[in-house]
Amino acid sequence: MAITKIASIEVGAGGAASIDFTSIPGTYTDLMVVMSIRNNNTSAFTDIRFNGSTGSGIFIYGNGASATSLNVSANYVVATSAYTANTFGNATVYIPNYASTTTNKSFSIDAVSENNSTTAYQSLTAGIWSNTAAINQITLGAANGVAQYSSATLYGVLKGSSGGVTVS
Amino acid sequence: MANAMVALATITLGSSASSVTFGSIPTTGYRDLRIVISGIAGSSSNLLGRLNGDTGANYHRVTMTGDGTTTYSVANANQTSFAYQYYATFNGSTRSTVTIDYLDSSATDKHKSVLIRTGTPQTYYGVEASVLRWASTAAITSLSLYFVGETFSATTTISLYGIVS
Repeated sequence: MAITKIASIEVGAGGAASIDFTSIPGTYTDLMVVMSIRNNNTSAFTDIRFNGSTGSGIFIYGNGASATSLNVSANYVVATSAYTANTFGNATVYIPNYASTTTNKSFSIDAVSENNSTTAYQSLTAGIWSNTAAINQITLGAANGVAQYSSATLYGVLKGSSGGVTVS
Repeated sequence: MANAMVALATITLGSSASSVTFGSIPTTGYRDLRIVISGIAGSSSNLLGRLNGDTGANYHRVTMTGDGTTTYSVANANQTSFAYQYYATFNGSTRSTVTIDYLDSSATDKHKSVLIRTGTPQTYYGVEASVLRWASTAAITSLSLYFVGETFSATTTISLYGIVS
């Protein structure tokens, strides 16, 4: 199977400081995180950290009226505590070659938020974690805390060959 | 549990290569295809591609880009290859992450829609999303990835996955 669920976390009542995936095995090719997340404060952005440290990246977001591009730490948009109740932002993070010990780690983030009748966001991020260590921990939402019922699932993606397809 | 996504082929380059081609792609059993690339080129260069070796003016795209300062959008029609990148190209120092989805790749009753996400996290390169169309009703049996006047560098990994019907 090319995609395998490694772990899934749902935040309980009262919220949490972050969502943490730890002791990530180095046996896959790539990692993918899919999340439904809401900040515990009014910031419309939050962050992702690898082995406890942030990356950096190029970020583009649209709000329905205009588009903006920035150099950022590895941000993505979320629903905030000020947004429509019971509404969560969603994001997918893809990290190729996360277990490499010889290269820095580039990654991508696609994210959307929703907020009835007012500004919401869609964003894309090209990120990089400038560290040659294998990624064994991923932390979501530490910048602002995560609200109760936020959730995230970590998947491992494994390359391979099914036979028949040629590569040249 | 049935597999929804199957790894079909992969290559990690031990030395530079001017192109990578996946051939003999099955046209039964898979509805969509996905390419994932993590890598570097010899220098700044726009990733190009063709399907089934088609050199006709059958490739179209619309792209949006953010380079860390400015946003852009561009459209090109009737090209003789896919231009997969615009500003967020490969370069010689920062690894790029590229995912390309070929939707309904095995269908013979429609042109092929392609979605690409590409990112090179360095100022003046940036992040991009494009929608592309190959104006052919043929099922996809091969796809090539290449540069003009440049090469993929060693350690670049390119993987092909099939999404099960």
